[in-house]
Amino acid sequence: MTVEDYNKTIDLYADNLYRFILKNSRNEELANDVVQETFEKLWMKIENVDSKKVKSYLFTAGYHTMLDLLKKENRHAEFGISEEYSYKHEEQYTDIGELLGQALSRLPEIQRTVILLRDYEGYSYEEIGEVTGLKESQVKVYIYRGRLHLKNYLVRIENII
Amino acid sequence: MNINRNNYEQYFLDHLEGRLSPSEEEILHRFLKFNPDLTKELDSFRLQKLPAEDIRFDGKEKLRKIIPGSEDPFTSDNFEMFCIAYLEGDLTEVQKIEFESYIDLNPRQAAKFELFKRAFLIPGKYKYGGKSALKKSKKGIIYLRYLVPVAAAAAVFLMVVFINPDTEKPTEMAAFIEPEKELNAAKESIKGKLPVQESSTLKVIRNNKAPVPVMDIKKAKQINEKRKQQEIPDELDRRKEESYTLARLGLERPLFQNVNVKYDRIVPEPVNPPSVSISSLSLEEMARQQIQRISRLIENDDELLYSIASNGLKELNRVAGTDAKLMASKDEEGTISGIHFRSRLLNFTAPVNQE
Repeated sequence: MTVEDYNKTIDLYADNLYRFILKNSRNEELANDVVQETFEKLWMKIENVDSKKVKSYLFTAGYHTMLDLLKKENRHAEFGISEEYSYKHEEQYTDIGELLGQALSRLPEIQRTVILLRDYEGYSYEEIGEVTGLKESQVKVYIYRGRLHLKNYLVRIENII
Repeated sequence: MNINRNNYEQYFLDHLEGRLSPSEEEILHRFLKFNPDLTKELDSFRLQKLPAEDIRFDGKEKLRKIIPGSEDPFTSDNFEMFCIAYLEGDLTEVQKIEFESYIDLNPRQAAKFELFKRAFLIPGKYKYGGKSALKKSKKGIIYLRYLVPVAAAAAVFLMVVFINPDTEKPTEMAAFIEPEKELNAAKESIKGKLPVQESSTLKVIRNNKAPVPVMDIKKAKQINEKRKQQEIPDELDRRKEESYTLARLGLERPLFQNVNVKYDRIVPEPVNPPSVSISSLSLEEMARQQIQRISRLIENDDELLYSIASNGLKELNRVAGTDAKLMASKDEEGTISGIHFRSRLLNFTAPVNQE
């Protein structure tokens, strides 16, 4: 990978990576840190990373950097808590995107990650497995479970409204 | 096993659960023979055991969440999973047709299916603001690529110099005044000559224009003569006398080691630094003092030196994106016996001598 490729990668994927981490962690500062650190890691490995696989590399490194930073800041426990069954409706939702964002934040971390990679980045089960270190079958199970929770959340909210 | 009327319950329970050995069973039987009233109690224990009943839950199939495989037929029990599989594109053509025809015939289920459709995230627009800061310029990189191995090699060289006692000490180390040299200087001074090498303190004072009492050579000669006449022993004679005294005490050493004898036996008093503020010190002097202080701290601590060099190299790698490596080999006792430096431009191995 050349310096030009590296700079092009920033234009192509920095936004995507930022969105993935921001949506996953719900923390703007952390998302900024992760993007910076991930690109620093890529820079260190510039000679070893194939430009065709750079997106996968970025998301894998970014995901693990996010987990590391959350662990360091002792927020991992809080972050990993599933609130999937607490459907308190306290806010007024204007559109489905906002509602889904709320539902997403209540998913367990791993389900949220696989669904974000699937819906935002259009990754296959195999690619998601590479990023998260899961088997393809596990990825599938987490996606199905996550979808079910999202749908149930929407149903509950609609009933309350 | 010591069964009696105070602890028989636990043995009854063990007997009922089959945890007693044949010999213990025998003891229990004998105990019951002598205590027939307790046999009834043992029987009541037996009655407390609930018989197993064959009760089954029939709704297991409905609870199961099976992710449909390509061979699984569509069933209404597995409707939700098929909804997801349909939207994920995991169904075969045959499964798709089955599912779609089921939806067409069941409008209520079609509404549920619509909810699943809405459970897919739509990517919004997100902009990362720090892109320009992340970008690298090619020019700087080339410069750093060459600089880093050189800087790393310099760091390693310094480490080798510090660790290896066989290597000649750097000039900063010579700033420590050795006893023999100090004595010779004193001797020369007393004989009326100015010291050959100015002490660092004098140099500092001179540089800062502080008033320095300069000894007049003639006056010094006069003092020297007077000392001789009054038989005042000079510093050299006093030290010699000390060594002779030690020799008489049986601590004989060759004459040329007189000075060492004195320094081995007497702890030198700490010398107070001149009352010169740091701001008035020259840059060279400040650097010399710092190096002396650090040298004393890290002297004989190879692990610390290796750690300093290794961390410095890591930082250089991080800044310039290189992959230079510094490795230490250790002997059986775990002390560093050699270092190996690897980079794209420079590779070398250096032994570390240990005393």
